[in-house]
Amino acid sequence: MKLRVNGQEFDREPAPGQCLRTYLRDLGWFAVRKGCDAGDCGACTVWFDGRPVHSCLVPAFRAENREVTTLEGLAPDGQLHPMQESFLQAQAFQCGFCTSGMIMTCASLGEEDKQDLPFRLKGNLCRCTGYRAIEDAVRGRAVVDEDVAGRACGSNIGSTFATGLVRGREHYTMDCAIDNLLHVKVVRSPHAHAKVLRIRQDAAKALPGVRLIVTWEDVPRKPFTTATHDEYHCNPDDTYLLDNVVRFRGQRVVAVYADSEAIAEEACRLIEIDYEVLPAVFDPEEAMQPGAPQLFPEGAAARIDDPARNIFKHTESEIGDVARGFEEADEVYEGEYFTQRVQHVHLETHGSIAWKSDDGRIHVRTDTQTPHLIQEKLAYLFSLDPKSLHVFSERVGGGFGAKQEMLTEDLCVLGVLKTGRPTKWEWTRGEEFIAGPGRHPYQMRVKLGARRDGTLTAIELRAVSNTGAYRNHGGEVLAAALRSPVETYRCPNKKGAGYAVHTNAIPAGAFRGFGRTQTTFAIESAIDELAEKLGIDPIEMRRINMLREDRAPGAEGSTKIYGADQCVDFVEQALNSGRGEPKPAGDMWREGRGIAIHFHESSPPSQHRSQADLFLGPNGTFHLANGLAEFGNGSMNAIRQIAAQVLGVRAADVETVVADTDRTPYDAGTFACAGTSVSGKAVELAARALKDRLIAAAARRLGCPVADGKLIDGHVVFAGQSIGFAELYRQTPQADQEFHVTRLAVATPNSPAFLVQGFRVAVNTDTCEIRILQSVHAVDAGTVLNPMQLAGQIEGGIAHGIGTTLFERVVIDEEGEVLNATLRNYRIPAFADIPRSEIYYADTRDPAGPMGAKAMGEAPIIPISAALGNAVKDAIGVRLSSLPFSADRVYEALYDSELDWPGLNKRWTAELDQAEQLTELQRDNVRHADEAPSEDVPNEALEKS
Amino acid sequence: MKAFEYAAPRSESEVLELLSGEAGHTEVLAGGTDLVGLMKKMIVTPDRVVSLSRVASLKKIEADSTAVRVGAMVSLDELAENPVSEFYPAIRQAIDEIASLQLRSQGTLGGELCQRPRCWYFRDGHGLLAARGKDVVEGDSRFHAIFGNAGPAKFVCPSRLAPALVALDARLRILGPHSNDETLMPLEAFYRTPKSEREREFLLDPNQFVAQVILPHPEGRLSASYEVRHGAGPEYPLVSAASSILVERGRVVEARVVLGQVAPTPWISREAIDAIVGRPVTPETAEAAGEAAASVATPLRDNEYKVRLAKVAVKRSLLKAAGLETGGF
Repeated sequence: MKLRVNGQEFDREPAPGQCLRTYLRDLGWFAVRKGCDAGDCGACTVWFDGRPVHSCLVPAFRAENREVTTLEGLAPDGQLHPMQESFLQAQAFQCGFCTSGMIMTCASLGEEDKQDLPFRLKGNLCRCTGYRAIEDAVRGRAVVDEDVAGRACGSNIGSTFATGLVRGREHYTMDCAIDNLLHVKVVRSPHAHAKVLRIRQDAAKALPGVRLIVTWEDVPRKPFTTATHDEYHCNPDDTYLLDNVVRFRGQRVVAVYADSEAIAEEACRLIEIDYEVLPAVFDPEEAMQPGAPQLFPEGAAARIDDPARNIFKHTESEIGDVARGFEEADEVYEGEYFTQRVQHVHLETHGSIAWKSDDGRIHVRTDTQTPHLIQEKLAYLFSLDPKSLHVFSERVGGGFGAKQEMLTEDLCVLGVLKTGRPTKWEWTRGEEFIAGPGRHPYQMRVKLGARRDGTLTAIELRAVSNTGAYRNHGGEVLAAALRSPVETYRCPNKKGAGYAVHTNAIPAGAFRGFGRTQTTFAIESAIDELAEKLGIDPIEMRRINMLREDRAPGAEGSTKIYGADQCVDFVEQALNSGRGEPKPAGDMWREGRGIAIHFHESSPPSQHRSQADLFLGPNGTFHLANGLAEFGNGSMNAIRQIAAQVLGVRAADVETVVADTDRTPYDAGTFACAGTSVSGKAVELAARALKDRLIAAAARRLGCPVADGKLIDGHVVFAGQSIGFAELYRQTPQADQEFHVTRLAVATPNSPAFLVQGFRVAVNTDTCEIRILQSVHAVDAGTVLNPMQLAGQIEGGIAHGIGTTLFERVVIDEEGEVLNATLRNYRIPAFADIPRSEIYYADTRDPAGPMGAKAMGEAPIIPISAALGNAVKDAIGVRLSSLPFSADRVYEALYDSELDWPGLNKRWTAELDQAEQLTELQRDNVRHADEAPSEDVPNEALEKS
Repeated sequence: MKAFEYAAPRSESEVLELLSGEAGHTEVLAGGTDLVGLMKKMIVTPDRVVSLSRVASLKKIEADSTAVRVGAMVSLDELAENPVSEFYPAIRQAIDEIASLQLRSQGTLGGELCQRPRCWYFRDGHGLLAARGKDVVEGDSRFHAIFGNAGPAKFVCPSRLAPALVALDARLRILGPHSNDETLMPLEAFYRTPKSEREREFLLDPNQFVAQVILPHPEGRLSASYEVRHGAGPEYPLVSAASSILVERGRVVEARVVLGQVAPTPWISREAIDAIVGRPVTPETAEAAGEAAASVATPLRDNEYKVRLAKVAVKRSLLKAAGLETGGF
């Protein structure tokens, strides 16, 4: 088959059943990416005879004699298309995985189309940015600052990979061509709880191209946990590579290694497995009842607090006397709240590729947030020397916590060990939903008491977490959930009880917000309810009770570390300003406003360490190595800005390496807001140490006092004298050692950040639609290292929060099957769903944080649900206590309320005899339907009739 | 995806020669936006795929004084951009709601009408009827039918254009294996509610295909589509309605009101039609028509909210057709 791609002729037959997306990638055009493989996300958008199409939906045969353009061919070699230039100038990406498709769509828009982006960009999803930066790019707004020596921090320094990205030359995990590759596919359990009795693999083995089939009998029987944390023991080892007991539907049972994905898939279909199906339980409250199916009867050995009741972790504590606190209260509010399972939907699905080099070492190219911890885990699992393993990432397409988990690397390494061949496993979007970690669903009861003046007298919280079939992150998430959301308010009497409970649901995992999102939804909703009972304005209620400066952790007399007060003021003023959209016309629209606040401690409840390695090269530039991961979080840029600022050079003068166990020292990885706060701190410490050495060496050479030395634009400068770094390097004996430092940072003390979020919404009582009219956010993030990146993190968090509040929910049926495992049915926000937000920054500085910065990666998602819920309550007078606020829930809320909206409380009733009212055709249909055999007729009989 | 033979014939007759009379053996490929996904998930597993993309006759839009004939392979974009669509606001509005730039340029009129239900039980391999409706009734029925759901079929017709086309009295030109085998079928008769897994949700034999959609001249009829959605993104609507009305001396003398996403077929609401004919279109009469449409609903456990949305959709489609868009749209 002949076709032209980016102006070049190609002649190659597609594989049977191949779509254009994989065909183009086989030709080496890697900018054509897979986000969903189903025409929902737009990451694979190419031009087909000049029009944008989802290449995953085009059969490759269709391309015969056609002209295809991918991002790589959008502009002639060495040049940029104006839209590429615009994306570069606006830095309209974070992880960058959606960027090639996004640019291809945007570059196809005429000037008129650009006025209607909400509509034109329905076919391209971005999970990171919240779309503001993309809109800026299309509108031609430039935000990137010039990279000036000594001004790295506080400037909008562009990302190191920006140019490569907009040209389609950056490579994500799967963007490489490796010969002789084996492909992994797994057979997943169709049962939520079962014993594997027998596995018949003869037919699969006989399939040409199948090279290896492994079951639980073929793998090391070593328990491990898929979760990765610096503190290894916080996630008990309860998982095997492959097991003979399955505890959730979708658990992997058999792995097949074959010459192509298609062969591996076919082999999976040929494998027959006999199961002994065991009773399953999905609700955590039910799972705690006596007689409920037990997931881990072995109990103590598996480190479960109460195996008979499936309680993995039970934690309870009280300060003061909550009972007395409620007695002292003039008003008490008690309510129940529920949060759903949601999915990260990082656009790059999980995947890794492993191979052995000639020296016998194994290399693992993966999309992880924690390369060093993956290395440790693989070494343990396969009894290898960690040094014989090289784990690294190139570009990673989003994570949000889902890649703080070892899900694919193990089976790839197993394939390499057993066959010697390079092995790849790339998940489908469907697999993300049925087997990837989601957010822990929480069931919460919160009780608050306050005096008439609004002062809280007691806070009591009970949180039950559905951790699913395995324990990864369940305990840590519970610890975080019970911590800062309760600490946000001053109150002498507080009590918290938490249960992380096993069920046969898919294991939950780390998810941006890490438990705090769930409990903040409950507590911040409850604060509004209590304020209403007391007749106190909800904003005032927060001023009365929130942490004050003198009580804020880490507060130090002279430094303005505390910014919650400023944040509340910002949001109140903005909501009163009249900005934003007006309420749509019509009585059916009801307007309301609401806020929620959050106090955020960075880093995991356990521990977190990071090392930075920094040296001066002979040419006067610096080399920085740190093991953090860059997956759209911007940490890689942040650390080189920190180093550049301390060393008085341009950011570009600090060559930076991350996410590579061969080339960087130990780092626990990038999660829990530790990227900037811990890795950044290690880099700052290293840079300051190197700065001291540079000044000391120069002072010795020039005979100047050390105290006078400054680093300015690549020189050590004293009064009247200076020496360039390259010159200093030449003149210093053993400069390679003298100017090479390594420093370690730990996550103590935590970085205390605040944020306040507010919305004005309109709720349509006719259609149950919720429309956001104004979106206002104030953050206390300390020193702002890169304003553009910080805004991007905040806007991305807002969008993530809006999605998980209004639309997103993994629907799981009573047998544990995920019903909406596609992006068309699991809806993440599109451009049209996300308002432009007003963002304000408190003027603070954290003496413990790097350069005074605080962490702000997760926090912006946390109070969103409560802020929106409070606004909806204000609008319609009804509290929505379960997420998400879907149309059916809004309807139920409106109907069940005692409120008297016009025409509202008239619940539908069937008054008419249907059959008489039907059209002939419909009657025909109904008749057929009525005649249909009843349930007790076996299907076979039906099919033969 | 199962390996298959790919054929791209150049004429209607060649297409017919390649289509097998045996169910499941061949599939017709139009824009591919639905079929390719179904094949990737092995929900359909044809041995041969017959592409219509090279059949020039299927890409034409022809108009004369009585009707417009739109080839099945006309893309949704081309149809919306063609001047004839001005006569059929309900169609243009429905296309304007459809997902993305990419899907609109790839998707075709014929394919849009023949797309398979979005029912998640069907898409997860439980069959079109999802265990004779049991999975739906006992499972999650929030997005399932509220009308015509007494039998085992609980899915909803997914087409976003069918309500508008049924309201506009569109007919299909369907070609079959014999030289004179050409059926002109009202679109409303094309869709059916299957009663067993052997039946598809439309009346198309495996060796037939949809070649054209014929739209009668509107002759002064006003029309509109309205979709109720939660959010503004690329998702399918929760409920939609299309209305076509002929107004004389201020009163509706003829009406077609068709709901979408509420029944296994596009749902013609006789009740709404009866309620509006003979009356002027006002917010009150439109509301009454919506009430009438909703009055015969038989919601499942989880989708009572759709009854309310159906009422709203009918009301708004009528008001919109009559040019009376008020606040709240």
